[in-house]
Amino acid sequence: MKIILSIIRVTFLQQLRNRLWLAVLLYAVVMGAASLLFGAISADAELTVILDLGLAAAEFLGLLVAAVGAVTLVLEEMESKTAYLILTRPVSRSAYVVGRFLGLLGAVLAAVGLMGLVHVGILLLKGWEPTSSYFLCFPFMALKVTVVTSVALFFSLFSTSQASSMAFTAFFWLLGHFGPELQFLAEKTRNVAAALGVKAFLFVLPRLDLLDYRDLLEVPGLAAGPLLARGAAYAALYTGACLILSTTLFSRREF
Amino acid sequence: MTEPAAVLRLENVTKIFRRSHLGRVRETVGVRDLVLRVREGEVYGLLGLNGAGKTTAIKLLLGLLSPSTGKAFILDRPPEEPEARRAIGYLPEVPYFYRHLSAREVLRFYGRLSGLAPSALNARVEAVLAEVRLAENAHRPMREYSKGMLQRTSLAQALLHDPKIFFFDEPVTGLDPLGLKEMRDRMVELNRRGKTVFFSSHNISEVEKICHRVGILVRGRMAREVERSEWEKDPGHLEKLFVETVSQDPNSGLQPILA
Repeated sequence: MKIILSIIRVTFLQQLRNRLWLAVLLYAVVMGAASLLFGAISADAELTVILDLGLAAAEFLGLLVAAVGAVTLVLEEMESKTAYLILTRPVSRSAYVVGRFLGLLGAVLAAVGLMGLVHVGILLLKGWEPTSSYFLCFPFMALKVTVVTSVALFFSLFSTSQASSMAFTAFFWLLGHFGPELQFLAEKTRNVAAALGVKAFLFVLPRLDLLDYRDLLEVPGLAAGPLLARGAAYAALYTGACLILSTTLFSRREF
Repeated sequence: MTEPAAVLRLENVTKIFRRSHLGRVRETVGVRDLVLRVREGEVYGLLGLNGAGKTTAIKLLLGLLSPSTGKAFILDRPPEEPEARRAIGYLPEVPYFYRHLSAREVLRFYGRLSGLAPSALNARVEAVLAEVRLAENAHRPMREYSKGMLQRTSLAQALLHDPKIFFFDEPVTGLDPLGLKEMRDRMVELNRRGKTVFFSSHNISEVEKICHRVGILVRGRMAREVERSEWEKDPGHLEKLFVETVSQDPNSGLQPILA
């Protein structure tokens, strides 16, 4: 456990110093500009637009930083041979993968948290009244980031280049939001093999639609607790499976 | 007198690398039926031409590669075992570190991974930093370090947990004369403190100066092992033996040079 904590700590530090804060800065600049722009264009919808845009931008940047970070993290360390100095010490390969994953995740979630603070600050300046549904969006966002980070880490160990692992991650990230549509397609198709194929793909695909927090904002009175519990259970299972696969791949890897 | 125990062993190890490209599998032999025994307290040098299998042999002993057949041992344990890993310090050919961290941060990290007690960690890190003359710059991020400073950080991380056995992969490659002398003195000093030093090199004159025994690898096989007594009274003899050994391989490409 001490070893995993040491790896988490160093990974977190590395990420913070490796220009992760630029994502937060970019977010602050975009949101600042957006609040000025939308304030001038539409006074009525200003708050709604800033609210939606801010959440979407925080999620997008968080996922992007997580995906890029996970893809480069281990792959780069293997290519640069920095990993040798860790793996020739009494460190199991699973501890290495889990520590790297949690350290990166912690850094990305801290960045998303900072973006959230910037967003709240802008909203309050615009006269927004805080709602519980808004703050509930962030745990969902964190779950999504967790799942995507684990997918990206798996692909970085599975494929041979950063470009291909990034492409696989982007593909899964995109299609992960279309679970219900793919389900519909599988049910409507008359071709049994195609239906089975789509269902199998759905099983493998991260169901990011289950973690979509926008429902919370759009449906008044929606019980968030069960949705969050279901999302958390799903994210834990999916992330756990990805980490098991990643450690298995990494244990077999030769340097 | 009994012979010192072998602290590093490769027992009939063969390593075949399989690389597939567009469905075609290509096999390359890294080492073949390699038998190697490094005795406790000796300085053992592994010599060979490029591609002879020196780095492969080191990686097999470090557990970074798994043998296709045969077995590797550190202190009679498989290299993957924590007890085996605690006993070794590894200095890679090219030092790579985390650019955004300082030497002090990196050494503390490696110290924790090596199992140093938290109460002793800081004092040990400072002692090692002083030993490699990095104390003054230990707070700076390593992206600002010169090649020499990175090399010294690399040495510091190998010394940190006071291991019994040191692996040096091409330790004198690319060093200036002063750096070369420093590295040689360091290996001799470690050996004087009872440590076993195992290293690979192209540099025969350096090997000649510090080794007790030398293994000459030719195309992944141990072609010859030479004891210090065979060359110490005849400077240049090791070079002759080396050339003689590698030139017996028809694929060495040395025949036109020697003709």
